[in-house]
Amino acid sequence: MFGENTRVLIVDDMMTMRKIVINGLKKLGLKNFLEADDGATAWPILDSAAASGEAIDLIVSDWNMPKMKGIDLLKKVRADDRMKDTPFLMVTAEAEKSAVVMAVQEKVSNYIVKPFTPDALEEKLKQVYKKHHG
Amino acid sequence: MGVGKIFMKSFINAVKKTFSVQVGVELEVKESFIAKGQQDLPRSDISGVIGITSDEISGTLSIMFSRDVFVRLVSKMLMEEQEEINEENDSAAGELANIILGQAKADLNENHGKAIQCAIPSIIVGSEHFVKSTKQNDEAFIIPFQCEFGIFHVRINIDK
Repeated sequence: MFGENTRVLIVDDMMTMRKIVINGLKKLGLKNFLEADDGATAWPILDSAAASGEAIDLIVSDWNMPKMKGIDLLKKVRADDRMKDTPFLMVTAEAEKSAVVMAVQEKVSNYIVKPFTPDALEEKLKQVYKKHHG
Repeated sequence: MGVGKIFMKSFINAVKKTFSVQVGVELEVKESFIAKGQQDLPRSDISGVIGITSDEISGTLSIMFSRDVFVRLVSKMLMEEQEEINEENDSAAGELANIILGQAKADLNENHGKAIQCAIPSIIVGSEHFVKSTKQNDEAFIIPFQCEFGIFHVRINIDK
């Protein structure tokens, strides 16, 4: 499972949801969090982290955000050689199968639909870890 | 105003599931009514509002809370005691509207052939406000929900 020093970027335009995700990750022992309120503000954080040699280890992102949607952030991450293999968990109210299919096609690591319980979040993170670390 | 049975069922189920899973409270649906004028509209201290749109329809979903009910619900949602509505927790009203629309949209689009689009929610914070449309003679469907902390309301208006 992800260790306590895992560098996590939480991306959601709702502060409440960022807090819920962070609280869920804290319960799993993670401690190192950065936050962004939009895909557009997340990208400079990812870019800067990669350039400094301390790349983000896990991205947890919403889908519907005003300036850059999570699916567009995912495409950008997967297109960048420095971070194309970064674990990316989409946490979103988009519950339609077509949205899930789109995210899978863009190589999302996993996908959790709101509403979700803390146990569901933990299970998805375990699946993401296993996918990327064996 | 036409808020058909299909829409009502989808939205009621979405509200109940959202609160059961994300907040951890079970809801009882109380008797709904049509608000025909401002005097019928529930007053609230914080509301989450989100558009319901497709090529065929336009409308809004609003979820409306008194201060006390909201503070207790968001404390449960965050698993941290909150004492007031503030900038750290007020987005919960918008997030709840967002999740409810996501659930209802999936049902309406996948099972009933609607094509409702995503939307970004807004929040309204202000003592004893009400949410209404700019249309004259607007009718909105109001559904009260009872939870362990009190009653909150969901307002739906859809124009076909």
